[in-house]
Amino acid sequence: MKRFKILCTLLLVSFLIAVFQNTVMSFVEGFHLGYGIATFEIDNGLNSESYTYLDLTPKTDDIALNADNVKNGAPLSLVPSKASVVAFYPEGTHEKTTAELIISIINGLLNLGIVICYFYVLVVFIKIILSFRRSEVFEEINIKRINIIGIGFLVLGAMSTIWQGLGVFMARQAVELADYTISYSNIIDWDDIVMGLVILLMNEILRLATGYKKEQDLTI
Amino acid sequence: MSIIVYLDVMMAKRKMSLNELSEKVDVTPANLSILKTGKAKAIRFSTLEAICEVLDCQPGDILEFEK
Repeated sequence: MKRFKILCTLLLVSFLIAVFQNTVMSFVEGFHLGYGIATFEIDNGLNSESYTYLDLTPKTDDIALNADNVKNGAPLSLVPSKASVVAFYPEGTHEKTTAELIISIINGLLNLGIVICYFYVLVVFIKIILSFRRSEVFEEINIKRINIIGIGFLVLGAMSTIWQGLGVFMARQAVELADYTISYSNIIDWDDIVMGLVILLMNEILRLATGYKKEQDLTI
Repeated sequence: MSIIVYLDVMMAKRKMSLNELSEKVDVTPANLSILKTGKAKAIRFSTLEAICEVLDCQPGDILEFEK
């Protein structure tokens, strides 16, 4: 039981760090980027559209020396695979179409949904860990909670896939790069989907174990 | 289809209380009560053996299969 409790604590700490990294750090980075873009817009009289976390695929296999190693001055080839693109337009020249507006709203709602879902999963997860630490492992309530977490991860996977897909779609409509293709190749959020499925599978094992425990408890 | 437990009938025949039986077979009164009320999912051979010995009966006197 001691080992079990240590693992629970490690899992909780890891989960909290992951949430911090994925939400708080992303928020801070996004805030800095947004602040920089806004300042640039005001200083230069421009409007902008941002397309974030895009997967880029080089159009050719040619290697270009397009950067320098500051440490020793040697030439480098910088090949970005993920990038955020900010497209600038002179003020008043770029109006969003109705379709773009609708997609933007859907994307915003999805983003909000992802954050809410993530925190809900976190709250349920903390409840489970606290329950486990009280040695309440084979309880019906925990099976329901783990089920919620598994489904939560699947929903998260689906939402971030749609969010990513819409982001790539909008970027491809507005931007075309000379050397890179904005790619749909990595839009599916396999991490969350696989995690959700693994959790649901483990939960089924726990459900079976709980059933056996009940039987064992009623064996005289 | 179910297994009917006639522990209460045998205890009445032997004029034995639940507490007395629980002391003699070394099973808690709570567990014996679960067995008596038919809520038990299974019974160990060792428990059945002890009950049969104390009540001087056969397993068939305590348990019956009903279609």
